[in-house]
Amino acid sequence: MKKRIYSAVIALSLAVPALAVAADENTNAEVHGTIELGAQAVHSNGDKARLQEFRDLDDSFLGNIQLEALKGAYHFEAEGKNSGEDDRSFQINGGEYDNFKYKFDFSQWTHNYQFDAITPYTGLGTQNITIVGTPANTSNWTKFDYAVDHKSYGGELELSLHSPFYVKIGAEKQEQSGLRPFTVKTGFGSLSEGPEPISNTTDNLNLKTGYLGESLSVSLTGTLSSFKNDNKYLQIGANGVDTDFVLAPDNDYHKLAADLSWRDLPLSSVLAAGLSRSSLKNNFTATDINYSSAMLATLTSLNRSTFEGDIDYTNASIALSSRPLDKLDTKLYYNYIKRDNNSSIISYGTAPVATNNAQELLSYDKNTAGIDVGYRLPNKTKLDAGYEYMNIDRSTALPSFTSASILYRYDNPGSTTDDSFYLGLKNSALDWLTAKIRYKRLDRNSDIYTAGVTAPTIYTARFDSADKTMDEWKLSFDIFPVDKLDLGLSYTYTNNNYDWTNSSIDGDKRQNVYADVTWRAVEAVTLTGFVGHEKTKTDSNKRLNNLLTLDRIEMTDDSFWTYGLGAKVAATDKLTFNLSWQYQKSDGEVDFNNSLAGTAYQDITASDDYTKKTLEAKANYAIDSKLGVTIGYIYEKLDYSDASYANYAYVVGSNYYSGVYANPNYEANVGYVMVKYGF
Amino acid sequence: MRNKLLPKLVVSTWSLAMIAMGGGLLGQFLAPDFAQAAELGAACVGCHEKPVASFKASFHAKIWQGKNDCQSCHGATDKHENDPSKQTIISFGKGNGRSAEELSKQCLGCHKKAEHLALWDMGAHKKNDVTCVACHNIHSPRSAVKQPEVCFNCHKDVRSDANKISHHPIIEGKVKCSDCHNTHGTLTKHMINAESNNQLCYKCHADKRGPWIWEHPPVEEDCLICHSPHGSRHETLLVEREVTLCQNCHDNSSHHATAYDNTSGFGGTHSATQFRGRGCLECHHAIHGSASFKRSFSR
Repeated sequence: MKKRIYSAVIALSLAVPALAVAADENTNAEVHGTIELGAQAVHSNGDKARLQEFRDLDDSFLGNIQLEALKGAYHFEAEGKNSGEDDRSFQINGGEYDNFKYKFDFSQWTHNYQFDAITPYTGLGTQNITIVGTPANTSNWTKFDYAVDHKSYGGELELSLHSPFYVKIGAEKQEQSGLRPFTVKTGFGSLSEGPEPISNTTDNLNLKTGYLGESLSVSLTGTLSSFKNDNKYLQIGANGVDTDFVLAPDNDYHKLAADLSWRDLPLSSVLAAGLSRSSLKNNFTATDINYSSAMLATLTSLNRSTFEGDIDYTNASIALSSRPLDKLDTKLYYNYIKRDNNSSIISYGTAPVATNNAQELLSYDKNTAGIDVGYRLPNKTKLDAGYEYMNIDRSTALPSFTSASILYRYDNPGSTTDDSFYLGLKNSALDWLTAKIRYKRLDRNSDIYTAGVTAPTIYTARFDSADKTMDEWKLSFDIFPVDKLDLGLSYTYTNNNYDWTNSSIDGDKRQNVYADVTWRAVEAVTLTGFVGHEKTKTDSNKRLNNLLTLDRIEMTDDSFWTYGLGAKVAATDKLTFNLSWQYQKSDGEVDFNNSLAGTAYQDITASDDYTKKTLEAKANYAIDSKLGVTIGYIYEKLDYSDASYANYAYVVGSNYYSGVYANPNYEANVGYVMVKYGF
Repeated sequence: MRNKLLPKLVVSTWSLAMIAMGGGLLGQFLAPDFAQAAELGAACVGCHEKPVASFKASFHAKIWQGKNDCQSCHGATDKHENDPSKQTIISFGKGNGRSAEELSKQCLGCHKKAEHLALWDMGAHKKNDVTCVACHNIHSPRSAVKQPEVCFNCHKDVRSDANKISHHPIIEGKVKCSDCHNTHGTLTKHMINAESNNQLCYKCHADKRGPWIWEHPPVEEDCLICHSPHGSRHETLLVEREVTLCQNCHDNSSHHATAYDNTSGFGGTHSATQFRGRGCLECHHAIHGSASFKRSFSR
C-alpha cells in the first residue's frame, strides 16, 4: 500500500506541473522533451552480481523520459531514467528565478554483492538463523543472493519571493533492505559465513532560512536525522546453542548551524564563518538486543544494562580572504572541531580482569589554522605558498590500555600535531601552455611516546597518528599546441616516512602519472584518449608476539595501469558513431624479507590482481528532426585473482564459507536499441 | 517503534508543495505572455552564426526573454567590430588573454547573491583559477553540469579511482560528485558538504553513526584512514589490502602479528582463517563499532 501511495504521489508530481505547462497552447510556453523506449539483451558468463553490482543489466525494456518547460522566468524539468529497471530514478525540479524553487527526487538501485551464495544456516533474512547437524555436505545448504536494495525519496521547497530572504525546507527518506555479507564465530564451528538481515530507514528533515544581500549572506540551518534499524541483533542457533550478535543500533541526530559570508570589505576582503552544534543520541537496553538473563549473568558485576549514547559535535570555522596588494591574494583560516563523547560507561568483571568501555569512548579536539598566499609575478606567473598547523588532541574517559613494557595504543594515540607547508608555481605565459609545479612537506609529531623510552622498544601505534614526514611533488602541463588539440599531463610523487611504528608500516612511496588528449581532428571527428599509471611501494616492519627483534619486513608493491580510447564520428548529418575502449590492469604483490629471522614466508604474487576491459559502440541515426534510433553494444570482461580466494572451498575443517567475492570474473555482451522521440 | 512522523512529513510537504506549485504554474502559464523578445545576437550573427544559434536555444536566453543579449556576458562590441580579435571583447575561449577572475566576474555579476556561491571566495576552484565556464556551458540548452564527466576532465586521479573494481557508484550515476562536494566553495577541506569526512559519510551510512558501546577510535576519527572514497583496487574501498591494512595498527600479539603469506589461503600449507576469504572481517565483523554489552574479540 505504501508503495502505491508513493507511486501515486510521484505520478501526480509529474503530472500536475506538466499538465499546467501544456494546458494552454495559446501562450508562449515552450515545452520540450524526449521520450526514449527500447530494449536490451544481455548474454553473460560468470559472476552476474559483480557485473550488476550497481546497475541492472538483465534482459529488459528500457525507458527514459525528459520534459522541460519554460515560460518567461518559469521553468520546469522532469526526468525519469531507466524506467522498467531496478535502478531507476525520477527527478522533478522547477521554479522561478529569485522567487521559488522546488525539486523532488526518487531513486532506487540495488547493491549486488553475490548471487547464488550458499550457507548452512536456515531462516535467512530474519534475526534468528540456525545450523543443525554437521553441515559438511554443501548440497543441503540454502542458496541465496547477497544484495541490498536502496531507495530514497526526497523533496525540497525554497521560497524567496523576489526578496533577499529565503526559506528552504527539505525532507528525505532512505530505505535499505536485503542481505549483506556477515560472518560469525560460533561454538559450533570456527566460523560460518552467512547473511546479515538488512532492513533500516533513515529520515532526514532540513530547514534553512537566510538572507542573501549584495555584500552579506547569512543563514541558519536546522537538521534532524533519525536512523531506525529493524534488526537489532542476529541470533545464531547452532545445535541448540544460541549465540547473539549485536547489529547497528538506532540513533537520532540533530544539528543547528549558522553561516555568514561578508563581502566587499576593505582590501577586497571576504569574511566567512560557520558555527554548528550537533548531537547524536541513542538509548537501548540489554533486552533490546536480545540478551538473556543467562547471558547477562556471565557479565559479573555489570554496572548497568541500559546504554545511553551521547556524542556532541561542535564546529567553528572562520576564513578571511583578502587582496592587500594588487597582485597579492591571501587567505587566513581557522577551524575547530570538538567531538565530546558522553556515552554511558559500561563495566563488568572484577580485578584483575575488570573491563570497561571508557578506554575506547573517543573524544577529541581538533584545531586547524593556516594561511594561503598567492602572488602574481610577471609573465603570467603565479606563486602560491601556504602553511597549516593542525593539532588533534584525543582523550578517553579512562586511560587507554597500557602496560610497562608495551604501549598498547590502538585506542588512544594521544595528541598529534601536523605542520605542513607548500610552494607552487604556475605559468601561462604561452597561450598554448600552462605549467604547474608544487611541493608540499608535512611533519607530524605525536606525544604517544613515554619520556625516557626509546626505540626500538616495542610500540604499537596507529600508523595514521604516529610521527611522520611526507614530501610530495606535483607537476602538471595543460598543452594546446593547435586550436583543436588539448593535451593534459600530470605527475605526482609522494614519499611518506613513519617513525616509531616499529611493528607497523615504515614508509611508502607513491607515483601517479596521468595523461589525456582530445583532438577534434576535423569538424565531424573527435578523438579522445587517456592513460594512467599508479605505483605504490610500502615497507612494513613486523615482529611476532612482543619480541624486540624483527621477524620480517613486508614489502607491498601495487601497480595499476589504465588507458582508454574514444572516437566520435559524425558520418553524415543524420548518422553518428561513438566508440570507446577502456582497459585496466591491477597487479599487486607482497614480498617477504626472510633474511632477518631465517623465515621461509612465500611471497604473495596475486594481491587484488585484475584486468578489466570495456568496449562500447553506439550508432545514432536521426530519422528526422524529432525521431532517432540508437543501436549500441557493450562488451565487458573482468578477470580477478587474489591469494585469499585461490583454491576456494566452501568447507575448510569446521569453517563454512558462502562463496561471497570468491570468483567475481565475468564476461558480458550487452546489446540495446532505443528509439527516441523529441518534441 | 518506527518513526512515523518524518515519512508522513515528506509526503505531506511534497504534496502540498506540488499542489501550490502546480496551481501557481497553471496560473502563470495561462496568464498573458511577456513582451516578445527582440532579435537576439543581431549584431553578432554575421560572424558568429553558430554561437548565436546555440545561445538562442540556451537556458539563459529563454529565461532572459531578450532582456540580455550577447553583450551581457561578452561586453561591448564596438572595438570588436573593427578589430575582431579575442582581445577586443570578453572571450571565454582559448587565448582570451583574460584572468580567471575577470571571466568569472561576468557570471558573478548576476549570480553572486546565489546561496550556493556564498563561499565562492573560499573555495579551491577560485584559488586555482577555475572559471565558471570551465564547468558550465552557457550556450547549452540545459544548465546542469554533466557529472562526473566534467569533473573528470581535471580530476584525473578521481576518474582513475572511480573506475576501479571497488568504487562508489559514481560512474553508474547513483552518486554524483555534488552529493559530497560543493564545487562552488566551502570552509572545509576538499570542499565537502559537511563539517568533517565522517559527518559527510554518515549522511548515507547512518548505520555507521553509532553511538557505540565499543568504538574503534580511528573509525570515529576519520573514515578516510581506511577507505579511499572514490574507488580502490582493493575490496570495500580500502586503501590497502585488508590484512595488510589491519596489521598496520594491530601487529603486536596473538595472530595479529602472524605472517600471512602465499601459503595461508584455502588449501595452503599454512592455511589461516585470518587470511582466507574476507580475512580479518570473517571474525571481526564489528570493526565500525559494537553495541554489545560484552567486550569480545568480535564484539
